[in-house]
Amino acid sequence: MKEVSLTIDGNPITAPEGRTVLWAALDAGVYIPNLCAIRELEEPQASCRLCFVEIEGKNAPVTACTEPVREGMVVNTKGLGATRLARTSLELLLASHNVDCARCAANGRCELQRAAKHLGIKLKSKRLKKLLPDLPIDSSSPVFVFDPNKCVLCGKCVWKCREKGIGAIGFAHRGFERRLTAFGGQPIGQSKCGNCLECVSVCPVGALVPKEDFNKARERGRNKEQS
Amino acid sequence: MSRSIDFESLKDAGAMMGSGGMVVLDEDDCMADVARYFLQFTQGESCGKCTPCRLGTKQMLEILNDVTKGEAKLEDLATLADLAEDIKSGSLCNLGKTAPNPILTTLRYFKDEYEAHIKEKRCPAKRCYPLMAYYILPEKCERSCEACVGTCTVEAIYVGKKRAKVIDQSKCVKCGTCLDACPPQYNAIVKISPLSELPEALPPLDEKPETK
Repeated sequence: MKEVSLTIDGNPITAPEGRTVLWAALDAGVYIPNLCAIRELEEPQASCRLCFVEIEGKNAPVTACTEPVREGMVVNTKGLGATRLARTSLELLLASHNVDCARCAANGRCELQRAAKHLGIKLKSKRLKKLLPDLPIDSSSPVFVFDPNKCVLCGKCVWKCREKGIGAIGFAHRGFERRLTAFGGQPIGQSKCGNCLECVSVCPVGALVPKEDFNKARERGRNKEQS
Repeated sequence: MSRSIDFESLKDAGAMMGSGGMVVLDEDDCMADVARYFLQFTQGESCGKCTPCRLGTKQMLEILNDVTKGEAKLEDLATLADLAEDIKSGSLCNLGKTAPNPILTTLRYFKDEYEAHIKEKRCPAKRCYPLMAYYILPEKCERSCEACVGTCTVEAIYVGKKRAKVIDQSKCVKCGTCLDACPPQYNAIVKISPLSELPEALPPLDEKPETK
């Protein structure tokens, strides 16, 4: 496949033709915050709105996941306009995320933490209200736990579950009510879930975690509080 | 106030053609409340796929709810304006990209109305229920007329001194039926905002009605 040369933040890189700026950057070791990006998807979801970058010649920031690389392209991941949009999206996500890192199994490997650190965003927003979906934790599965108050609706688990040919989970409802659920809102443990844990492996946050890790993290948090 | 109805001209004004319909508002319409109404609509219409639209419209609606209740702070207006800009630029589809328009334009043309809600707890259009009250002017109220008393849906109006009718604010649900019922020759019922300007209610009439 033909290789294309471009520069990202001043660094020259090459990427195969047809690749998007996001994957070209990530493969070249340049981090651009993202939650919903799935390499295998031909049509990116472009739903998390974190990967905004600026491209020379374009008058507005664009999402890196939807922008194919072009020869001679000049990409700036640190532009003020792009980072402002990315920060706002992240701040909105964090304001509707149960920030409970000390008792969370994803602490340390959480993509929200990583993006927040990269963009210089506090985990607790000062200007936005805390708006949680306030839904109960689903621990009906024998192998994992789903916490809807931590879910960022990136869609990775839904994609993975379908790719495996199972399709036990999907999105339901709209707007702020949108949530991950099994068919008809039944507990995931009672759905056709085959306990393969593939969804857990792609969750970028602590919404889907192995049951064992969930309990351990709780325990750890409790011990920390007591000491 | 002249503007041709075409795509460019409407876009300049911060509006859009939409389905070609037009809503005419006057000084009895609160611009913050109008923005809230439209946001409620777009927030309900949002599919929820992308972050700015799903969560941003909800956050903006929360601020507008606070404004119309007189519970917002001045810095919330800055947050509202910033969110509106970012949701307009950052959303995936045109629903999210246009959802902040009512906020951006009302903030552009009627910022003083927003500020009145926050600083003075006053709704200039006397439209936001938490910030307004109905009041019967005793000097205008006709002794022999009880149209408002009969029409009040929650029996919140009693007969006060000199047979002037009085609204019990603790019972009033602000439906406005009494204002419509008060005969135009008396025109005794007014809306008052802020609530701090509401005169003290007259005491109830002690003696029994003479007509018995």
